[in-house]
Amino acid sequence: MRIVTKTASVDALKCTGCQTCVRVCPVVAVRMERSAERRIAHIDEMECVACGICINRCAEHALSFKDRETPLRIETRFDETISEEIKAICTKAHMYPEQVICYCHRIQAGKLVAAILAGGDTPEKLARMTGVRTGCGVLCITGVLRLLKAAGVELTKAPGYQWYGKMITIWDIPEAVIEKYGKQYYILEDRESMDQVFPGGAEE
Amino acid sequence: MMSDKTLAPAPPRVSYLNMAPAELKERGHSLPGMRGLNIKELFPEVCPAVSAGSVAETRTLIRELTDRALKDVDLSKIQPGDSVNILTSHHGYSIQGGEAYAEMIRAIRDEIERRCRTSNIHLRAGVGLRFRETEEYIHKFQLDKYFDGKAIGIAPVDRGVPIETELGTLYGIAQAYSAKWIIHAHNNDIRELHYHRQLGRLFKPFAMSYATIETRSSYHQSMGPRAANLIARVIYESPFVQEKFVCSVMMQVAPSGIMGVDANNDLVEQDRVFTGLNLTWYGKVVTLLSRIKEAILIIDYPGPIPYTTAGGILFGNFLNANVDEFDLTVPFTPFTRYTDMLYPGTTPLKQGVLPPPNPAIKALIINYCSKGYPGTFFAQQLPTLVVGKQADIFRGCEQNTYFMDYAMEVESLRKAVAFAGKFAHTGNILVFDGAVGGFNVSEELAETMYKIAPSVREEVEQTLMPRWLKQRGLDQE
Repeated sequence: MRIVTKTASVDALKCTGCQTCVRVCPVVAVRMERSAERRIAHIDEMECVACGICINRCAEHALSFKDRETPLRIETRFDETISEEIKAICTKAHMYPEQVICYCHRIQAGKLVAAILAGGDTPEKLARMTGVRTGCGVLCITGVLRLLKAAGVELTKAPGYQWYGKMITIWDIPEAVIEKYGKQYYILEDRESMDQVFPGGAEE
Repeated sequence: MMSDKTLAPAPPRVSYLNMAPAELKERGHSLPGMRGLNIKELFPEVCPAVSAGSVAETRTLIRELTDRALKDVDLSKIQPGDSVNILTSHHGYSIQGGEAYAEMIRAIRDEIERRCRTSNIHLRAGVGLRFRETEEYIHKFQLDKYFDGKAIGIAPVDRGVPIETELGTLYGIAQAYSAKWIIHAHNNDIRELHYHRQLGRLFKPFAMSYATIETRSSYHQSMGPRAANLIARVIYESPFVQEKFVCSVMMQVAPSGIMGVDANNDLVEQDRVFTGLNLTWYGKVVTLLSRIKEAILIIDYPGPIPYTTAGGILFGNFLNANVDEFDLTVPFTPFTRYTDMLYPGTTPLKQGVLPPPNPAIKALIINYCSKGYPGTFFAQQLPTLVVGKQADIFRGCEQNTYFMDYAMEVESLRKAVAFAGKFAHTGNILVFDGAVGGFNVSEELAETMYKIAPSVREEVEQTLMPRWLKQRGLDQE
C-alpha cells in the first residue's frame, strides 16, 4: 500500500487552458472545466496520485502540489495471488511474476497481471489500480504494454500523449535488420542472453 | 609525488531537485585525511585538457574551438530563412558547471546565422527523468534570451512524432523535430557505459533525449544489454531524421576535463572516431577503479545517484566495475534496468547469471544528490547511509517511494563516515563530488591507487585495449 499525502492543484489565474496537463496525466485525473469566460484545468483529487508529471510539464507553472486533507491510500483491491494463469501471461511476455516493472514504486509483473485480470485493460486503469506509471512516467511503459498484449488486450488509443502502442523487443527484430546490424550490435548474442534470463514467448 | 591538497568539488546547485545549498553542512573533500589525486599523477601519458581559468576565458576558448570545428562542416543545406533546431541534452549543461557546453551552443547558433543567413534558430533541450531540469539551465545560461525566446525544454512525455525505422515505428518528441533542419549538439562523456557499452555512444540521444517514453522504455527494458543501442542507430538512419540532419557537434570530454570540440556531417564516422578516443581516454581510469578491492563511497554532487561523478567517472561506472563493461562478450552488467528488474529483493531471480553490484562497495554514504531517478535498487543492494536533510529529498521524491525504507538516516557526514568505518573495516574513501581531472580520496586509497596504476597501464595497453578495439572492428586503424 502507498499513502499519497499531496495532490496537484491548479492556479486558475495562470492556467491558459492549453490542455498539456490533461494529455500527460497517467491516471487521467485532469479535465477541462468552464470557469467564468474560459476553460481551465480541473484536478480530480480522488484520482490524482501526486506523480507531479502535470506540474513539471505546465509551461505556465500553473500547477503545484498541495497537501491533502485526508491522505489517499493506493491499495490493492483485487486478488494478487499468483495463479497459473498469471504465470502463463507473464511467461508469454518473457517475464517473471516477481519481476520489477515499475522501478519507482517497485511494482511487480504478477501484480500488474492480476490487475489486468481484474479489469485493468488500459495503462491508465492499471496506473490507478496499482500506481504503475506514476513515478518517472517513462521507464515502465513497455513492460505494461507487453503484459497487456500477452493478456490478449487490444489497445486502441491513449487519451493524450501517454502512449502510442508502438514498441520493439529483442524478440521482434526483422531478419533483414539482424543481417545488416547483427554482428555489430550483438543482436543474436543478446537474444540468447535475454532468453536465458527472460525465457518465454509464444504460448507455452 | 602526490599532492596533499583536495580538488574543488562541484558547488551546490539551486534547483527544485536539490536541498537548499545552506542545508549542505559539509562536503566529502573537507573530511580529515582526504587528498586530491590527479589523473595526471596516475597516468602521466594522458592528454591534457584544454585549460581556461575564468568563465569569460572558458567562453572565449570554447567559441574559438567550436568555430574552428565548424569551419570544415557543410552547412549548405540550410537556406536563408530556414528553420533549424539545435538539439541538446541535459547532461552537457552540467559538465564542469555547464558554461562550456552552453557556449558551444551559442557559437553553433551564431555560425549558422552568419553562414546560412537565417535567424530562425531554435534550441531544444532534452532531459532524463527530471522534466524541468533543462528549463533551469536555459534560464541559468540565459539561452532563452540568446535564442530570442526560441529555447525550450522538451520531455519524453511530450507529444510524439512517428519515425519509420528499420525496426518499425518508433517515436521522437515532436518539438525536437519541428524544424526543417536539426543539428545534434552533444558530448562523448562515458556516462552510462552500462547502457551504451561504447557501442554507438554518440547516437544515444536519438533514443533518449529526443525520444518519447515507449522508445526510451524499449531501449531500457526490451532489447538486450548491447542490442538496445541499435534503436538509436536506426532512428538516426531513418529517412525522417536523415532528411533533417545537417551535422553533429560534440564537446569532447575525458577524465582530464574538456578536451575540445569536434564537428562532422557524418555521425557514423564521428562515432567511430570517438569510440577509439573514449577507449583511450577512459579505459585506464575505469580499469584502475575496478582494481580497488574495498571502499566507502560518498555521494556528494548535485545529480541523481548513478550520475554523480568525479574525474569524469560516474558512481554508476564504479557500481559496475566488477565486470569489464568495455568487453562486449560480457552480456549483463551489475546494474542496468535489465538487472534491476530481476532483483525484486536482495537476491536476483537468476542466480549465477547476473553479476552482483560491485562487492568493493562496503558502504554508500549519500551526503548530497538530486531527486528524480528511481534508485531504490541501490539502497536495497548496498549498505546505505543518508545524511541530514538529504533524507527528506528522498522522502519527497515521486521516483523513490521506498528508498528510505532501506537506508539509514544519519545526522552528519562525519557521523556517517565514522559508523561506516566500523562495519566496512576499511580506510579507503572515494568521493563522487564533481571534482575535475581527478578524485578526492582518503590518503590510504590514494596510496593504493598510485601503487597499482603502473600494472593497470600495462594490462590495458597490452591486453585489454587490443581486445576492446578488435571487438569494435577498430584494431586495424
